Amino acid sequence: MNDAPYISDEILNAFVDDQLSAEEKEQVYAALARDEKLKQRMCELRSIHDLARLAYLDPPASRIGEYVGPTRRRPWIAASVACLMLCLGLVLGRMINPSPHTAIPVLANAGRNETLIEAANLHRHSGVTKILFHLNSGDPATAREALDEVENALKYYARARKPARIELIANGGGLNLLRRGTSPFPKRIREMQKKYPNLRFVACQNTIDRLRREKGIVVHLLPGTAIIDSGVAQIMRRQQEGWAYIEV
Amino acid sequence: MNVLNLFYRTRESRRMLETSRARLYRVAYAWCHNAALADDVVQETLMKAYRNLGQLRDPKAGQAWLFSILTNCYNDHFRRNRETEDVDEQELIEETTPEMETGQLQIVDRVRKAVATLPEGQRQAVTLVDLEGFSYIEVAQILDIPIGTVMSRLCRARNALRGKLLEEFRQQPELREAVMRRVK
Amino acid sequence: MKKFIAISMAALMTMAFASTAMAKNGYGKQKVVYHINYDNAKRQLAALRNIQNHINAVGAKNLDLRVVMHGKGYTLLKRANKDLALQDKIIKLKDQGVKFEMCANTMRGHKLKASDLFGLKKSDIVPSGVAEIAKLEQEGYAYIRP
Repeated sequence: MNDAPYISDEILNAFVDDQLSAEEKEQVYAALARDEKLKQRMCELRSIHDLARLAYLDPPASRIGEYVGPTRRRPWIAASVACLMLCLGLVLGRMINPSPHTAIPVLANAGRNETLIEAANLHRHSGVTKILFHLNSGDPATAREALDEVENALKYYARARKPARIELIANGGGLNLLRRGTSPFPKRIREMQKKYPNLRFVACQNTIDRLRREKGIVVHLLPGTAIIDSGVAQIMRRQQEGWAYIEV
Repeated sequence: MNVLNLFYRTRESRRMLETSRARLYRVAYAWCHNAALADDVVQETLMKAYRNLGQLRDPKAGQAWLFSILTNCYNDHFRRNRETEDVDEQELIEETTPEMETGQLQIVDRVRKAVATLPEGQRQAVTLVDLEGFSYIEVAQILDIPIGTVMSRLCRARNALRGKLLEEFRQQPELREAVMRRVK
Repeated sequence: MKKFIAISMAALMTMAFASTAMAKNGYGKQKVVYHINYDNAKRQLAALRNIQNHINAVGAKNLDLRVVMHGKGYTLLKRANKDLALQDKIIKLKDQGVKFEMCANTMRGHKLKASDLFGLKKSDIVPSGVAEIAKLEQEGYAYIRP
C-alpha cells in the first residue's frame, strides 16, 4: 500500500533533532525503511547538524583574558558578603557617576570571587584598555588621521602585549567614512577589520535617519559596520562602562 | 528563616552563570564571527543575568532564560535598519586565524563560512539547536518567535548549508571523506 | 532575612557615599586631561585660555590638569619657540601646576627633537599620546578637547 504519510522537511529535521513524539518517530522509521532517498536526505541532515556542532567546538579565544575561578573558603560568609557587595556595586553604578577609585577599594575586599566582582564592576578593572574614538568630521584628512590614530593605538597595545579594545564611532559628517560610495578608505578599513579582531567600527543610526529625512540619501554601510541607536548615547554608555574617550 | 535557602539558591544560580560563559560565547561567536564583539555581548548578558537573578524562579528554565538575554543583547548591538540594508551587508567579516592557513581546519573554516552566509534569523535558530541542543520550544522562547517559524528557519538553514557544503564536497571528494570520517 | 540585608546595605551604602563625596565636592582634587591634536593657532590659544579659566574657577591647588599633545598638536610648542607671548602663557600655566606632555610617536613621525619644542623636558615625553590619555581617563581623569 502506498498511503505512507509524506515526510516533510520539517518533520525530518525534527526527527534529527529528536523533537518528535514516539508515534511520529514510528512513522518516520517506517518511511525510512521504505524510501532510500529519504534515508539519504536524513543522513545529510544529520551530517549538517554534526558539522555545525563541530565547527564551533573550539571558537577563537576571546582576547579579554580568562576568568579566575572563585576560591571557596567559608562559602556561607563569602556568599553573603559577595552578594551584598554586588548590590552595592549595582547601587553605586546606577546612582552615582563614580570615578573608578571609589568602586574598587570596597569591592576588592569582597572575598576572592572575582567573577562576581567583574560582573558588578562593569568591565572597569579587568585589565583591558578600552578606547572609544569619536569621529564627527567628514573631512578626509581628519578621517585619515582617525584611522592612523586607531591603528597606532592597536599596534602600541599589541607590541606592549596589553589586551585592548578599540571602537571608532562615527556620527554627523564622520559617517562618510563608513558609507559605501563616500568612504575615502574602504579598502583600508577592510584590512584593519581583518587584521584586528579587537577593533570595531560603529555607525550612528540617528545620523542615518537624518540623512534620509533631510537629504533623501539612503545610506549603505561598509560591511562589518555595527550600528548603534545614537552616537552620543553610546559615548555616554561607554564612558560609564569605563571606556576612555578620545575625539579625533 | 530562609536566609540559607536564599543564599543556597543564589549560589546555585551563580554557579550556573559562571559555567555558562563559554557556552554563551560559543553561540555569540557563531552568530557574529567576531571574538571581541562576542565577548562584549556575553559580558553584558552575564551582567544583566546577575541583576535579574531574582526573576528566575525555576533553575531548570535557567538556560533558555539566559540565552534569551543573550539574544536581546546581541540584537541590541546590531540593531538593523531594514530599509537601508542590502543582503550584502549581512555578510560577516571572517577573521583570519593562524589555524585557517593549515589544511587541518579547512572543514571548520568552510562550515563557518557557510554559516556566515545564512540570514541572521536562520543562523540564530540553527546554532541554538546544533550547538546547545535546545528543544524547538526553547528556541521559540529564546528568539521570541512562534514554533512554526523555528521549524521553517531551521529547514531553510540546513537546506542552504547542505547546498553550499555539498557543492564543496562535490568539487573536492577527499574533503567529503575527511568529513565522513570525523563525523563518525 | 530582609532586615539583615537592609541593615547591611545601609551600612555599606553609607561607606560608599562617604568615599564618593571625597572625590566629587572639591575636598579632593579634580583631575582633567586636555587633549590637543590640531594645528589651528587660534584654537590653541583659546585652549590655553580655557585652561586658565578652569584654574580660576577651581583653584590651582584643587586641580590636577594635564595637557597631552599629539598628532598636529605638537605645533603648539613648536610655535612657542619663536613666539614670546605664547611662551609667557605656557610658563604661567606651568607655574600653576599644569603639566604639558608630548607624544613620542608624534615626535618620531615629524622628526622632532626636544629642543624644537618649547620647554620640553624628557620627563614630559610619553610613549603614546593616545595610550596616555586612555590611561589617565581610566584613572579617573575627565577628558576635554577644547
